[in-house]
Amino acid sequence: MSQETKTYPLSEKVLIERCIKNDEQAQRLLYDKYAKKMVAVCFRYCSDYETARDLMHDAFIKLFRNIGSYTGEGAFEAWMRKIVVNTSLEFLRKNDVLKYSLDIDDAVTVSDEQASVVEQLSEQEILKLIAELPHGFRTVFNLYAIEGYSHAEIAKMLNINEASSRSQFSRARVLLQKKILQNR
Amino acid sequence: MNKLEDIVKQKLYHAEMDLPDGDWDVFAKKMSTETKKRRRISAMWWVAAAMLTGFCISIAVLYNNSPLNDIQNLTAEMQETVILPSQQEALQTTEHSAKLEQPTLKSSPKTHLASVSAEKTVDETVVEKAQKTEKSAVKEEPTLKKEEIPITVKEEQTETVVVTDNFAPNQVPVDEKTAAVLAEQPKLTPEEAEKMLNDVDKSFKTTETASEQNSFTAWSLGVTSSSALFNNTQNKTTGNVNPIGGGPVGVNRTQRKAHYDMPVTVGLSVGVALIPRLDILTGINYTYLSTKFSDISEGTDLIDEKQQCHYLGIPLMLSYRFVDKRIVKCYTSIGGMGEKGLIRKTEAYTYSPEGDLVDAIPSESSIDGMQWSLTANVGVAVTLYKGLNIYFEPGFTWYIPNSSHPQPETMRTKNPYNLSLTLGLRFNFDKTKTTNK
Repeated sequence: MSQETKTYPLSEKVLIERCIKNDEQAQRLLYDKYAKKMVAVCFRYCSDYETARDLMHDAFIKLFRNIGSYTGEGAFEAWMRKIVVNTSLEFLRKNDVLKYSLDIDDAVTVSDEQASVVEQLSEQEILKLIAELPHGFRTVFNLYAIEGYSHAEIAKMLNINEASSRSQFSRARVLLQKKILQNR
Repeated sequence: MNKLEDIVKQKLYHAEMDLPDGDWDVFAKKMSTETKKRRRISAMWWVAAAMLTGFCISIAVLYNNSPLNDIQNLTAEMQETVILPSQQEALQTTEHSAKLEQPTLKSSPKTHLASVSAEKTVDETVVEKAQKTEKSAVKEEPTLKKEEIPITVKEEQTETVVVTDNFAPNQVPVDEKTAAVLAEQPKLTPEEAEKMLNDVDKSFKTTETASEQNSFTAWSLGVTSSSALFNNTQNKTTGNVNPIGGGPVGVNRTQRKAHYDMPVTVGLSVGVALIPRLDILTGINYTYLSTKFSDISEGTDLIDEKQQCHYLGIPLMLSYRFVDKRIVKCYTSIGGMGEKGLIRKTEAYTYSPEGDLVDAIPSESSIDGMQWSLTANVGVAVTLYKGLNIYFEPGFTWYIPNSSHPQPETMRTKNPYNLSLTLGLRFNFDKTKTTNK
């Protein structure tokens, strides 16, 4: 009776289990799966490609070192994203780039015309526009608008007032809106 | 109408960026280096801990075997047993009124002059003496220069015997009463006498050990107040560059000024002597840290923020006294402290470019995580009254950065290496006296 050999793509759960056992092959598969996404996350915070790559590497080192603490509750990608965001924030804190800004509480919404402009922009173009925001604005915008943290959570993460977080987000929206319109 | 952020999120949440070929190899190399570095740091901590333990044990062993220690014990015990000439008369009066039916001798274990705490009766001791002094001691008595050493007996009775300058354990003189008792005792062979002497030696050693153990029970209570030696002001101008696609694009410039006030710590301490000269100290410390920030964004208003942080910590220190005089004590101490942030209060003031106050926002937040620190101090303590000491401790502290729960920006996070000066009062409870009563 001949034996038939079949290869199956490893499920994420199996990959994680093998990574816990320091299996380098599994680590590589997991890295290949998420690295491109995570470097984009880092880039949104630091606005420099090489720095973003370094931060992504640091985040993956932390991830592989602590992968045993992943309980399986919630999506693995969300857990990984949290590590990547925290690593980026640590970098910003270390380099003293988190700033305060003015309170601008006017709600900013986008007209149909502006919305179509945003939708026409590529990911890279939007990333570039966000990268042009000041560090403080950009960080709060990323955390609130893209990662989905509340202002209370952001205030705690960045050691700032909740009011400061709100005002920086408002300011960031206004600036981004201006940049989008200029980019038409 | 769609919100801008919804559209951006939709576009960017799953965005990807290309990585160069061989990126995994770069990462694998980096991870390997980090792992080695981590192991090296871990090994260094173990070595440091082992060295510290070794150092403490060496100090303890050296001190216990130090001749100085023996001399101090001897002096303390001699003070209890030797009678000054001025006390002789009183003792001689006591001698006549004392009842000596079953007295217990009391002697210094170091000199074998008197006192046995192990409740040896005069009968037994005198027999030993008789064996040893039969040949010489009693006969030599008339020609000796007189000095007196008391023998404390049960029920607080003291008897004085005459001894000489060249007094030795083998030459114990006896008075008339003792001689009378001696005459009634059966004579011992030299072997029996030797055995008895050995028994007495053992009892001396037991007494000595017990006395030394008692001397470890000293402890102290104190209040402390300390502050860093310097405050600090930093100015920083940050350029914001956007090198997407390669070229740097300087968009914003921000000037930031931070003034860190001197941290102030007050606390209560308690110390217990582990061995002579080596104490372990702990307690509770409260620390107040104040920082003022001014953020000037180009083309925008000015924002000032005042931040106040309150910490509560528990120190753990090992202190070794290298000078231990009656009035002055010098010591060095090393250890660490774990501090928990209680609360962080901020007040943010916004000013228009014209200088008008636009807004003031106060807020409070909790401080997550712990602030750990390692400290080395050198201190001088001066005795003010009895056990009450005032002390000064210049010291060096390293505030270990907490990467998992970064602490609010204060002098400690900006300058993790701090010089400090501690001032305090400490009450030392006297060591248990090494008596055999």
